[in-house]
Amino acid sequence: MSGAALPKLALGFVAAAIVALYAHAIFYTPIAYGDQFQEIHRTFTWSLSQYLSSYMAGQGPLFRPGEIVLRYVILYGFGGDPFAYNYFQILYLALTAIMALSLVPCRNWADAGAAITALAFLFGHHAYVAVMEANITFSNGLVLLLMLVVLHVLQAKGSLTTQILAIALSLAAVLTKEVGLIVPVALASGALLGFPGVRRSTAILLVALILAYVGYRLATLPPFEGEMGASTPHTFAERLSNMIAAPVMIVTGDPFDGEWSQFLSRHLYPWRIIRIALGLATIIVILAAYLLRKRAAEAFPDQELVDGKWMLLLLIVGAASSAIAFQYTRHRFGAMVLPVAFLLLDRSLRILIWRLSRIDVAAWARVAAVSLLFAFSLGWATRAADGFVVLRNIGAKIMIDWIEHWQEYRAYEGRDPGTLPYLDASFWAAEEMPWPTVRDDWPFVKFWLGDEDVMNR
Amino acid sequence: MTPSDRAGALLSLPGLLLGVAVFFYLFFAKTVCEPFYQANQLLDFDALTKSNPRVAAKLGGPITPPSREGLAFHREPVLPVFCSPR
Repeated sequence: MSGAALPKLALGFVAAAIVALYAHAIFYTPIAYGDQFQEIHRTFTWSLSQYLSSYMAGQGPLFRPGEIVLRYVILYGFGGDPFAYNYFQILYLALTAIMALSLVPCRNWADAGAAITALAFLFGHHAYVAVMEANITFSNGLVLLLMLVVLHVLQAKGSLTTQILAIALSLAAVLTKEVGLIVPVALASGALLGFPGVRRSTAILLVALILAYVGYRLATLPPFEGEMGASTPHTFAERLSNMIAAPVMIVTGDPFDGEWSQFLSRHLYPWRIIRIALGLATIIVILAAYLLRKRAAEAFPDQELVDGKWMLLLLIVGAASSAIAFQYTRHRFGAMVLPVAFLLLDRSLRILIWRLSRIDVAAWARVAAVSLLFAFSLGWATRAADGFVVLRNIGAKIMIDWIEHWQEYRAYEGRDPGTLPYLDASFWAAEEMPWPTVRDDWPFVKFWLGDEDVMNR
Repeated sequence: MTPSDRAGALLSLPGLLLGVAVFFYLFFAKTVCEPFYQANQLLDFDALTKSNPRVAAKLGGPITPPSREGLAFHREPVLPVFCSPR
């Protein structure tokens, strides 16, 4: 076995374990009624063109035709019943892991340590777990997946195929959800920053796409009228507040859904302190690697450094997430920033490990620095375990919703008797799912692992 | 093993421990007993009263399930081996 084989095996094992753990919970998550049932019913009973034309005719404040197309692909591609959503989510988990692993080298244990920690960051981040709600997975989650592909495109050689891929990714993203705008923004910015993958001519096309999308969005669609909750802004001050809250949420998970008033009023459980501390520590680790870039250039090729263009890309993607919050914001919106942050965290940890092994300092200082990195890695591993707790809680919440609101669901859907065979089938599908025993979880789970912010509330 | 490899191996440990824990959990859950899930309680009003008294009080009694006749879809789920309810 070569020197790189064991570290690679370890990295693959950890990735497979996290995917298997999350998939286990997803497989046992019932189909939710809200935001799901009517869409599922239409997908089963309407043709795609009928659904799309109806959607465009009754255009509300949202423009997401790509979501509708995806519903057909998922429902008919994964077995023809609503469990297809679960299977799609499991595929999504696996694809995220594969795409993430394809971005990071693993030649030795230093690489493996960095990649395993970065992988725990990606899967354990509150925004990643939050996109595991079914509807969100094929909107925000899809954009997260596309952003992983974007990182490959930016670093590619700029062939014609890459240009076509860049445009296709951008179209797919913006047609699926508003946050998809981040994809063409990242690609066009990458061209300006000097990444080789996107040509200037492609960047111009992408800028035109961004302008056309924003113009269409502002000129034709009606504004939100408060239906998206308290995080829907109306005044300039509220919009500004959301735009500031968005990047803070990406890093710390607070203030939940952009509501600053909740920041101090909610209980500071240990998991919340850990989440905030790990988010801030991640920024510090990446900044440290950026400051070490010239020294790191002695040991790492340019393509593996945390240099100015990568830092700018991270800032631009973060700023784009912030800009989208002018419309409304959610704590999960950070998901689109995660791929860039994941890649930079991996590189940063490799650079810090390398530097720590060479710097001439007292033994206690070296031990202290390595201990801090170990605590950082341990923290993200516990957050990845926390993702499983959250997914079980999402399942439990959906179960209780079926019980608590069953009569309301049936009374509402009873107006169109044709929907009842689908509603009843969804009820029995939930009834046949295992029951998450979240009420019996040990107290330490609630205090140290629980993350009520991410749950479907 | 170089010093940076040693530090990297140390950083790998939490993730590897998580992986080992997941492996044993899933192996145990699929072959002996599933500790984090149990048989469904959607129609068990006594269980609901214990686990979620607010919802039980709101409903006042068990819900009436729909008929199993004429369902639009059905797929047999793959169920785990459960432990005795705690």
